[in-house]
Amino acid sequence: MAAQDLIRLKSGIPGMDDMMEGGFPFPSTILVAGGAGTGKTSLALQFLAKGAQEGEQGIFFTTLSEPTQWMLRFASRYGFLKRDWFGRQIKYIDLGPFLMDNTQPSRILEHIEEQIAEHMPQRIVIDPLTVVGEMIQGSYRTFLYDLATRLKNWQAVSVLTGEVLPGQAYPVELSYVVDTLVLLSTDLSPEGTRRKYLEILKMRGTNHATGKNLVDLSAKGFVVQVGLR
Amino acid sequence: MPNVQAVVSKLRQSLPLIRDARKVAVIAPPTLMNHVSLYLVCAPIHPDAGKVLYLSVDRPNRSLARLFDRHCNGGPQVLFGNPEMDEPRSGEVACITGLFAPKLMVDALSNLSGSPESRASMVVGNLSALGFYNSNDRIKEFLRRIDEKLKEQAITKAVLVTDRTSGYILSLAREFSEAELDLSG
Repeated sequence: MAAQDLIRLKSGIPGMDDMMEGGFPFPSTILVAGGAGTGKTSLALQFLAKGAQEGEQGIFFTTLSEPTQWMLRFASRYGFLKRDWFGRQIKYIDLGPFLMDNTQPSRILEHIEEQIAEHMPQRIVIDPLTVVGEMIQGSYRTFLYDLATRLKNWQAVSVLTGEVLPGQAYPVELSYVVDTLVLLSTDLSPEGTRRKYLEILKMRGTNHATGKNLVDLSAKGFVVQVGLR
Repeated sequence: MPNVQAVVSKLRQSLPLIRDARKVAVIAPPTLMNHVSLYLVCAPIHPDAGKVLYLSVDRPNRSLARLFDRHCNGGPQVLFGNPEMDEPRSGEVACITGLFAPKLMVDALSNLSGSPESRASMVVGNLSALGFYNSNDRIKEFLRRIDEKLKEQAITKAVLVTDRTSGYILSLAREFSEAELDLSG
């Protein structure tokens, strides 16, 4: 075989690219899993913001039936996001109404692909994907496999967020179909403050750092304190 | 990496440079292969009323056909195709895929290019992705056979879209071509 490096897209998360040979492999699918409040949506937005900054196209699919204005209201707290990007470099697409009326996996996949063909993004976010699993008829695992394959065929890096349920390490059914698994978690410090962590559990084709790394999440976004545990 | 607008604008301005060449190498930013391929398939650079054969190295027909259908406004009609399908008519694009078997792609090319009176031009994308699945010799042979098809006049024009991830494949593409368009800088 001819020797070739993988193309990588910068994550936009300070410190994170150093953990994974410079960025996410392009194209690939990434699962960002974590419990409530661990920062899944923030990380996904920061990833899209980095693309917008670089002149790339991004799509943010929400499954929560959340109108753009609500998302923008929360997102306006973040210094890394520019309002002007929405509707231009970042397309915000609410899948909620579609999912209410369409529970067939094939229809959902077709709908997502229509939007991707229209906007031709290099970065895609589906947040949270686990909601789709609660709504579809048929095999969720087959749907996830199809989705992951189709997303890669579009030549993009796709970040899928997944809710981790109590007692669960990560959404197992999702972890099989993705190329990368990033786990976000929290714990309570002895002083009673809640600390946040980021850990790369799996990344195909990459020598990645292992173990939990402390993260700061503020109005500036995510910053990984590599090596701090 | 250059952004979409900059690349498309440079591509548009440079079309006259590659319109008359029979063998062209286009060096594209790896994240914008879809945009560059789309533009090259739909652009008015193809002789014989725009019948185009698209050899897709790393993407299936389905997504490409959807892309071309959606964006080639007023341009060629896209066929959802495979090597067994009928010959495309004038003004149509046929997509051929063959990740692990570049030889088969060239064979399909012969079947699809049709009679000498209705010859087609072709676009290959992304050539450098062949390097993940094939030996250097096999890639060299692939280009030799495309050259053969040009000499036999089975095809009228060959556009190779590649990126800079493989120095070897880039040098092969350059060696092959009469004209080069670099969109990667």
